[in-house]
Amino acid sequence: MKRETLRLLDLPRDLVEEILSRVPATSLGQLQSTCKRWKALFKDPVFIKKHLDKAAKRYLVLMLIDYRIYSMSINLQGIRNIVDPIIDIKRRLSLNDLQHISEQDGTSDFFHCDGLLLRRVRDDKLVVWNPCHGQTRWIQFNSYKPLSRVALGYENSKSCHNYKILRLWDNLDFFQDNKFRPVLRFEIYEFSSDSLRVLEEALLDCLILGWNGVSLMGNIYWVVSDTKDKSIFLLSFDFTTERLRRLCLPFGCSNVDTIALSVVKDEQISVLHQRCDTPEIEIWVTTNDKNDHTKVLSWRKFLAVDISTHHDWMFWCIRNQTSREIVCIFGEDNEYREISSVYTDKLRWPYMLTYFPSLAQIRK
Amino acid sequence: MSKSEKKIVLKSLDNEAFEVEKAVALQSQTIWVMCEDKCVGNEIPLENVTGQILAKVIDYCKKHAVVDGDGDESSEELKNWDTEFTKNMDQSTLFNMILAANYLNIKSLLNLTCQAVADKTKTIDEFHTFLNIENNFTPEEEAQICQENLWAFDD
Repeated sequence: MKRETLRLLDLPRDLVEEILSRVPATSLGQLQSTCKRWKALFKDPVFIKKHLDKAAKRYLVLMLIDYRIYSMSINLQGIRNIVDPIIDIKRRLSLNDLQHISEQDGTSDFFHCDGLLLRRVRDDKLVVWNPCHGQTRWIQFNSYKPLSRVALGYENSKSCHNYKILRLWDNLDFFQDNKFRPVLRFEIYEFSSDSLRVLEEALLDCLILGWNGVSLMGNIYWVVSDTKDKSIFLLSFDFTTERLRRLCLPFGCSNVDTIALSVVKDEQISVLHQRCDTPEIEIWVTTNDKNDHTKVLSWRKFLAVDISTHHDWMFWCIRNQTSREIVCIFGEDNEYREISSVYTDKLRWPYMLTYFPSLAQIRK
Repeated sequence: MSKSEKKIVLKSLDNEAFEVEKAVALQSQTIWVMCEDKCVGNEIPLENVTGQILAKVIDYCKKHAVVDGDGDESSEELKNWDTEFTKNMDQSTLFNMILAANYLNIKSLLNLTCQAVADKTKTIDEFHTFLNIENNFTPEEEAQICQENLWAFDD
């Protein structure tokens, strides 16, 4: 071994990759503009998968305000000393292709999986975008379904993540017993064939609750209500097996309650629940057990807050008693802070999500 | 087993000899294979590692060895020790440690040192200086890429 100063490029290729697979995606995104070798490496599916597995998960908070996406800076440093956190718009995520989306065209469909953002622009025109390296992929569904939702996930193969989109919608169907009954139906979009196919399985007497679902480890989760037995449950969809499953929520609830899903550290699901008749908010988080999370979930209560006595609010947007939208930050040990928000739309609440940058891309 | 059989001598590239407990040295898969297969004596020549680096590797292995049931360090303590261990290493030492960990096949040390390099490079300038990377794009090409990649994140 030489004693003189070693440079990164003096190391064998596999060791260089070993190091770079641990560097955050946001830094690698910048690095691609400095070296041809890196630019090629960062597009290599094997390296992308390795990076997803090894790099530390650093989150950013993104917010959808007036149909535009902004990255937020949130300074929590003083929170232990009762100094209010500072939350501010850092910059708008601007992509040439997205800039000309006007407010009329925008929709609030905004979904995150593996560092890729899925955005519905209008009707059934979608874009999948990785802000880290700028890759975009536009999709136009050939059939329009009113009130459908879209979600991005992946089929888990050893070598890479095979991304797919799920479109789900509920419809009132007329049955032979002369009754209308809600049916929840699904379609899967494959990037490779640029086509939608219907999933045979449909859920009778089910309606989607809430606007947003979440993606975790490539699987998709939505809150769904059963209109027949009045139960509310979490619906999971596994892109690998293409199976739907009903999972229990850790609390009893009704379809008029507020129930919202979020993802913590890219490895756990959290659910916020507020009953319609109490000022108490509960947040539950799944535990890191070895179970297959598409089949069974175990939960722990993260915290419970009575919002009538505390105006204190993990990053959620909630409307408080004076009908002003506020951003709430919840922490361990029942720590929480409320921050007034000035960036509100009159029609829609701002929508926040925790975003985990990656090098993921849709293969051509 | 006599005392001497529990010890092993590691000899560096520059002929520095280190006597260590076998349990310490056997964390290296490479040394383990040498002991198993080659029937080498008590002295193992390591022709790819200098004494200066080998000393550090042995420090690490001593800390991480479970010798005679003496491994009661808490994982928290070990983690803090690991952080301190790599904290003040310069870039060249870290690269040499990575090469040594790779040659000696000590997985946990390879993980630790690769992570340490990754952690020290947060901004693009740090990449250039710390990793000694040369920009091999022409200014025109660079501008083109920046244009394609309009949104760079701030850290």
